[in-house]
Amino acid sequence: MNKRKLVLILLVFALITCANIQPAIAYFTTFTYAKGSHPIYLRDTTRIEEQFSNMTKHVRISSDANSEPVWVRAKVFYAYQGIDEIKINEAGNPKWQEGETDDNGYVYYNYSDPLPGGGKTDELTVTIYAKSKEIINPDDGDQYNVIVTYESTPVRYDEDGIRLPVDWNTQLLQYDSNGEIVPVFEDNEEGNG
Amino acid sequence: MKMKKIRSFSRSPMGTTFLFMLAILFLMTGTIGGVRAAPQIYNENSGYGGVQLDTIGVSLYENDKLVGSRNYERDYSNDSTAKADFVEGGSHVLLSNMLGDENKIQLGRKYTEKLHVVNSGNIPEYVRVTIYKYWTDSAGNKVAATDRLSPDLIDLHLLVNNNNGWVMDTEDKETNTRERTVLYYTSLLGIGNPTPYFTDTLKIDERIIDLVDIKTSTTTGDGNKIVETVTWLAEDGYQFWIEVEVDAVQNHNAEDAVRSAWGLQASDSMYKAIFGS
Repeated sequence: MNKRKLVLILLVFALITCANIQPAIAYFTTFTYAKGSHPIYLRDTTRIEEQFSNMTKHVRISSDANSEPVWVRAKVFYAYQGIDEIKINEAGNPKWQEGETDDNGYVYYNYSDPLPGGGKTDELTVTIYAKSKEIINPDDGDQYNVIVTYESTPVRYDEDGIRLPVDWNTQLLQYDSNGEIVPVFEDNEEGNG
Repeated sequence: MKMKKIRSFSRSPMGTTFLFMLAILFLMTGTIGGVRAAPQIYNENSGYGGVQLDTIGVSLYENDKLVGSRNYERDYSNDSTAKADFVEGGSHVLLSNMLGDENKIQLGRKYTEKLHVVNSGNIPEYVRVTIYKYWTDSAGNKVAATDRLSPDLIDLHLLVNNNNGWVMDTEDKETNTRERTVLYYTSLLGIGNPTPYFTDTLKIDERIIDLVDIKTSTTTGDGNKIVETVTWLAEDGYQFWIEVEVDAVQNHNAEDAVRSAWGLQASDSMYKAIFGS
């Protein structure tokens, strides 16, 4: 067999071998995409303000403009020294409604409407009836140990977007320094009034 | 003697011709598979106006409105040449109409979020979708999937494994994570046909409300006592994100296409769900 034919035969075998290697196949594909986002808002900033005049505390709770709506309620407790009686919401403002009683017998007063961002409640009055000899200055509330506290909880909605009734027993949670989730107690206390 | 005859035959012109014919036969059978991948780009080449182009295309719809598409189309705008290329459509934006007239999302409320896919090409195809859910902080940085702001709090309700053709691989723990879910449509999607919805609602779990920080401060003014209590989630300014990617592969030689493009093997449960055991 001459060299030329040998080369030819080898070439043929090489071609046959290459032809049977699995060909690289690019398949016909396509794709598309979309994405979107929304921010969430959870912040609520509330504060209690009170003024004292004529033996009466005038209390209002307000929220910052960028606060999320919250339910609020107030509680009054006091020491009996020099005080005959305390009357809360004596004028009967329907927005302030008597609620449950705590373990010590003090009554919560619930505000009937959610407090929106930038909103302020109607006034809650706490009128002090003291023994006359105890009244030194009817406009000085510091002489009486009467304390008003308040609580707030975010307004919640059901799956249809309907506002749910307030639930004061919802347990708030937070992370402690160890990264553990622990309950939070949401009593907001004021100084002596 | 036999070897002598073979040798003599191979040297003869007839032998050489025979070998060449054999080689051509091998070549033809070996390369037929190589052309099977590409779809028939041209059925006939007679200039435009009468040319049919097989194209692959897929579209994503949100609440029955197009949000993304990518179709292989022919461009007839140039009279002298007609070129084919992928053409994208849709805004690629989700959730833009989610809130309607409201400007804030209500936690715990279910919003309508119906997603489905349409075959916008003119060859049947197989499709799958990959869904991502995650949070970003006020600086736009992605938040790690921790329990505090878990992607689980982004409740995108999936319509899968309920005989509508959409299935989720629940065996592959690497494919489906807290942030990523892959769904396969197990039927061949015909030309112009839509799939059923693979999601229907979106809700941010209201339990996120319970995760708060509390700070208390006291200030005193003349005649007035003011106590300010601030309650907020420490991670202020956070956003939730939904991303959806849709992949489509040709129906021709689909088993190999799915293996190659999607990495599914014949032993995988999703491969069996599409093509049977």
